Amino acid sequence: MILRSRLFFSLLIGFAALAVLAGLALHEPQLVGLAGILSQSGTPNPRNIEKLRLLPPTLLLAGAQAVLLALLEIICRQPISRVVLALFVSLSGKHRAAFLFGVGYLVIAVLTLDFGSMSLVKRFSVNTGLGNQAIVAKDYGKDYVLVRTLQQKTPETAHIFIRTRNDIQYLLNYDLYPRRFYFYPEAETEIGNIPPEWWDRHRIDWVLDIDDQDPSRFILMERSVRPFVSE
Amino acid sequence: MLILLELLFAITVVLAIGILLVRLLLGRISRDSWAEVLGYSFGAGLGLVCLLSFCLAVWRIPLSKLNILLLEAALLLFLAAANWLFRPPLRWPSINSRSAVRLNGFEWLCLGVAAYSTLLVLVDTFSQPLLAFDSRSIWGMKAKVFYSQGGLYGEDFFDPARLHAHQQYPLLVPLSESLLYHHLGRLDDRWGKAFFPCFFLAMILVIYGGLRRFFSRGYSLAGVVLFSGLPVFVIFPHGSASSGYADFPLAYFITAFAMVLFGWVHSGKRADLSMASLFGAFALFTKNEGTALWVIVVACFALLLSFSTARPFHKMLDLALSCALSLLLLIPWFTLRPRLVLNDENYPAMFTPENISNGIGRLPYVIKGLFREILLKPHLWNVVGWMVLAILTAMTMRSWRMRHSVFFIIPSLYSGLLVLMFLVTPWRVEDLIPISLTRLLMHTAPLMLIWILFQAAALELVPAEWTGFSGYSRAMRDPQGNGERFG
Repeated sequence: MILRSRLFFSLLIGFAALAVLAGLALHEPQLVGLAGILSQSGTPNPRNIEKLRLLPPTLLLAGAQAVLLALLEIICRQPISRVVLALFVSLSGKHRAAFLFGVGYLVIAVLTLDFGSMSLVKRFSVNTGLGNQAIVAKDYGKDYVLVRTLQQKTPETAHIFIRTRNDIQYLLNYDLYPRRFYFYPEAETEIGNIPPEWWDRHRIDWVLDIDDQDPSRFILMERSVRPFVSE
Repeated sequence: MLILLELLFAITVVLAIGILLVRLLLGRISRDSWAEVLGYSFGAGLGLVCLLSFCLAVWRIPLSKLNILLLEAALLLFLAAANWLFRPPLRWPSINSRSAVRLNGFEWLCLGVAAYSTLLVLVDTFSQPLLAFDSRSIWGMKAKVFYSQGGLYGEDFFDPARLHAHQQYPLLVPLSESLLYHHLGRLDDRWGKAFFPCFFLAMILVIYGGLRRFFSRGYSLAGVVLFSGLPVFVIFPHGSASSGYADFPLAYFITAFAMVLFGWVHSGKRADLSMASLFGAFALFTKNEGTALWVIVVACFALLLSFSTARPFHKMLDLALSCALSLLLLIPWFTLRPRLVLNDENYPAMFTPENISNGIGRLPYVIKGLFREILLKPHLWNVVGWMVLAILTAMTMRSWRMRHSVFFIIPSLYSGLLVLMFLVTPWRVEDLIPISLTRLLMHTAPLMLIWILFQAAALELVPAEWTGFSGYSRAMRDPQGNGERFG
């Protein structure tokens, strides 16, 4: 039994060593490669990489937890290993397989909670003191220039014709509410070919043309006034 | 501080309505069913308030703070009076012996994992405003419209040229967010998410309570760990319990719907069926996928009845009545829905033999994506996929015939439907799968976890003295032998 208890202790320390080594070994190039493997599309994207930057500290935390557990084992005279190993020995083959599945599940669950904790710690370290609007602005990144321009140049009562295939239009619709955004149902129609009665029916007073590839490039103009062109 | 009090008030009112409603439907509540009752009460209370506030909106009664408070007060009074008239006086659960609550080390571990994941979801929810795409562009947008316009007859819902993502989507989640905005008296989407962690906690209670009907306390708590240790529900930014997406609420309502029906199959009590009517209606009212899931769940239970009941016709009739009641509850939604603009996917119309045969070339990619999702993504699905595979290899024909197989068949049929959907979708499937598959699989993941637990117990992959599983008869009486669980 003593040997088995040592085995349990060694497993904990081994896991800790592996986690710490992996945490120290993972650098940007490995994380980018990992992001490609983990994403469904097979290509890394900046948000995935940003998330994966939390992996090294998560692994270090998990390693520290395993070391702590191992120390507790020594200090408290191996209460966990005695119970767990006695249990494991008493199990039959298929029960042992289920037991190992359970342990594996629990380890990933703990890693999940560690990752969630690190994610929150990072978020609080970056967002502390920021209001909702500042956090949203950070989330937009360089595209926030579009939001800010619309906020500054158009009144809340504006009826804005929007032309883009970029999904940012839906976020503008949400974040700039109650401004009203309209699109012409036949997307291919040139602005000049849209019937005047359509403009009048929706009381369009602003026109916003956003680059489909780069939302920070756009043209905003009040109808019958000189256009505002982004830098 | 005031905000927290207002949120607590809103949640307490919803929970109180739910508890009164569940007690009215189920009758006397026994000591051991507290988890189930609390788990169901939150969803029942929120669903009912949202459905009735939707009715107010349809009847052109403005959704103002005063009207919402009046509605809640009227509901509380009505349900309290009905309980007083038709149900025996409430006796608070009493703990007779200390051993009843004494937990062993394993149970403490399970509770610790569940409590920590709940705390994570709670802090995650309130640590930032809505940031995920769908939570803002679809659900959050509708909530803003409901709050700002006090209803749905402004131009936002009905103008096809007004930018409004998925105008025909069901409205339970936006209504729940706008309910909080009304309680707070202002638009604040950081606090407007307050019901989402409640869904998470309610799901834990539903799973625990549902399993406790059949299993020991420790094994039921292990089920809770399976759920709360699944990364996709805790840390996945595009669909987790704190993300503001409607996928988690739908998963909750579908799980509650299936669990209540499973309980009814064993207890035979119409009270359980009346609960199923409610949760079925709320699932239909949460997301479009709820309709497909509702049909699948009902069909699976109808099939189960036809195989496993002595008098299937009577039970089928009861089930049909329950379904009819769900649909009746949603008449206001069904009458309004055709008037809403359909400017994007109409999947039911796309399921034609021609579209399916045209999309058959996508099948290898879709199947590969599905297996890759469930087997090679432990950061989302832990080892659930591998557990399912291991159990499937250990199964015998006899174990397929057991009633809990319904919890495997529902997710399997739903996954089959998702594959069909990917075959006919007008979008590039290479773009669609990465952003939607995980969220779609979430809807039935809790049912798959429940199946894993049942099947592991039935196959004795876990020692019988741990699971306490002795067939389905236990569900009909409480473990203390104090008579039926819902008297």
